[in-house]
Amino acid sequence: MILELSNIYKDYSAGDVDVPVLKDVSLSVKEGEYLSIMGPSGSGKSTLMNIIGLLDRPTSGTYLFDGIDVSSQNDNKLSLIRNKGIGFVFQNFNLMPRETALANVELPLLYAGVKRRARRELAAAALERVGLSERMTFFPTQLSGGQKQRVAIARAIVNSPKILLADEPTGALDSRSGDQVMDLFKSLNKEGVTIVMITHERAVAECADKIVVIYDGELMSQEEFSRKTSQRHGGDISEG
Amino acid sequence: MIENLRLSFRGILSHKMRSALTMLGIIIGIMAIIIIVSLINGASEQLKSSFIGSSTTIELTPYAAQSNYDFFSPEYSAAESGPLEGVGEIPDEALKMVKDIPGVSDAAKAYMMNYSAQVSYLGQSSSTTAYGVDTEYFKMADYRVISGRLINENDLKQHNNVIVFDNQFSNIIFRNTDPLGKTVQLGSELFTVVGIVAKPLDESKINNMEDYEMQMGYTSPVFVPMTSWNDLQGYDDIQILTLKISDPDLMIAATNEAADILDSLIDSSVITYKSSMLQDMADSLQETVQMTSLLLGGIASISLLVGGIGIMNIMLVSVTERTREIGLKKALGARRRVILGQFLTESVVLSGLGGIIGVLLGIGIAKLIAAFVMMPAPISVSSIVVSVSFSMGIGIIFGIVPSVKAAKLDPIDALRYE
Ligand SMILES: Nc1ncnc2c1ncn2[C@@H]1O[C@H](COP(=O)(O)OP(=O)(O)OP(=O)(O)O)[C@@H](O)[C@H]1O
Ligand SMILES: [Mg+2]
Repeated sequence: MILELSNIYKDYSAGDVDVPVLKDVSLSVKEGEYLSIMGPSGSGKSTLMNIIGLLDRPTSGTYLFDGIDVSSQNDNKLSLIRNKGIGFVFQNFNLMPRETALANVELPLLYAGVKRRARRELAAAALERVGLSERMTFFPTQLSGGQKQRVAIARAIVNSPKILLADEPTGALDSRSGDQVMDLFKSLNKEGVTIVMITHERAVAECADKIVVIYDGELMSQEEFSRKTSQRHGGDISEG
Repeated sequence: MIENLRLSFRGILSHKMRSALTMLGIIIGIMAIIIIVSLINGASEQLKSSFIGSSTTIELTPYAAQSNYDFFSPEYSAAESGPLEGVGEIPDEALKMVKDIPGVSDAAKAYMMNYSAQVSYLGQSSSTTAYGVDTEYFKMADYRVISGRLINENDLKQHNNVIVFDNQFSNIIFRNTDPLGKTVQLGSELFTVVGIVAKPLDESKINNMEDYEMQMGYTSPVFVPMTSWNDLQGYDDIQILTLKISDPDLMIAATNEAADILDSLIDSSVITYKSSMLQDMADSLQETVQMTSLLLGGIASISLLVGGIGIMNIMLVSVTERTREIGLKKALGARRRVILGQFLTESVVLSGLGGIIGVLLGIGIAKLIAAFVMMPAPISVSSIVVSVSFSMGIGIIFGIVPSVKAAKLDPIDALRYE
């Protein structure tokens, strides 16, 4: 198992009251798996993703990343695990606006202490992998949304992480660029990259091998979800 | 590190106006230091060169080894009782060795009674400095004859009670009468005036009475034959050595070397030879330096404190502005010290740049002022190095708080920051 979350709770305190956002979430992801997490807006998808990505800590519960209990790790250790083990793809790309595509992709390697030349080569290879070898010296402002997201994917895979985490990777893209990104994810997964992707679009979610739903902070299978919602209003997940 | 420098310069260049204003405090502080240091150095150099210009002759006088008082000073007589006897004359061998020192063109030995020699004529008495000299002395000390003659070999051989007056002092004693052939009393002995001498003054350097006295460097003295001296004193006195310096740059080294020679050849544990003039000069220079550092300390600490606070302020703004960037970097695996290093470098570069600009402006303005008031404004490398490293130190000190704040940001809070 790459990820093993058991009985994860996350509360946010808003003023005096504690707002529970994740309730008793348990989730396991195997090596090579491609998992989508769906859920309406505000259901806690991003919160879960941040915990999986070691950007945030759960209020309670245990989380093993690649067999390591991460709750006992300090800030610097977590940075190290993120750097070597996790690739992030964000909805809004999060590229450094003043750096070229190549320099953006080099960043994780820089923090991993890779030497300059090797950095160049690895970053160039990653950009080639996402089909952007012609755009290496472009700045983010000179790239389309789809291209920016592909740079972000190159950055996410450049350190050969154990897992790729994507939070609404197509959320800011038109359908054609979105499809490109999904094709890329699929082929990366075929090459053995483990992917956990958050989305609220059913079509996007269906690219994955497996779909789970988070609803009001609780994680469930699609069947459970339909049962729960049809009792109330029979709505569709993608509508939120 | 190179990466950090690159990021710093880009950060600074992307906010040129803001960076310039931030650096202003440091720039002004460092500029003030450079200006003041160089002007004060210039002033003291000028002081030194005016000393050297006038006094190409230097007297090495014996100091009491224990009390460190000039043997001729009032402090000495208060501290020790009675004259030092049995020290003996300066040997000719020592004189020869001193003349061979580079930078020394001539040397002569003499006896001296500093300021305390009482000269009486017709019941009027006046105190001055008296020298017991040989025939060499006048040439070496640049005296020329105005009337009468100098002390000669015959006077020395026969212990003649003859006396030569400096022009200035003879005017005080004799006023309008012709001094030659008159008899005056020096101490307990009577002397016949045989000559009047004067030192040519460097007119170009005399603007006022003070300059004049500095030029003279002595209260105009009287001279008697060296051989009459011990009769006059009633005991065997200690001699002084007068040096003529040909190269002002070697003055201090040559004087010290001469003093060492005398100390080694004159077998005495009670005296040591020093130049009172060099001593005075060293004292007054030290005083200037102390004043300078006090003044500097004040100006520097205030303006640099203000500059440092300015840098801290702008770094805090910069951390806030770049919260998302910091969050992203942490998400991508940047550790605390990477972030810390980035911001600390930026702060040091900012302040160091301010320091360099301050140094350049300071040099320019110091040279400008110096050109206006016609004095040198030497720029010491050490003051530049100290200024720039000091300003960088300020960058570190005032950059720590913002940098630690940046390094400690929680990645999730930073990423969410709008
Ligand atoms: N820092 C916070 N403080 C308080 N409440 C928070 C905080 N972050 C998230 N929440 C709350 O947690 C809940 C889940 O938020 P989250 O961002 O995980 O939703 P999401 O499923 O990603 O929604 P979306 O699809 O709109 O991105 C929301 O109700 C939100 O108000
Ligand atoms: Mg979200």
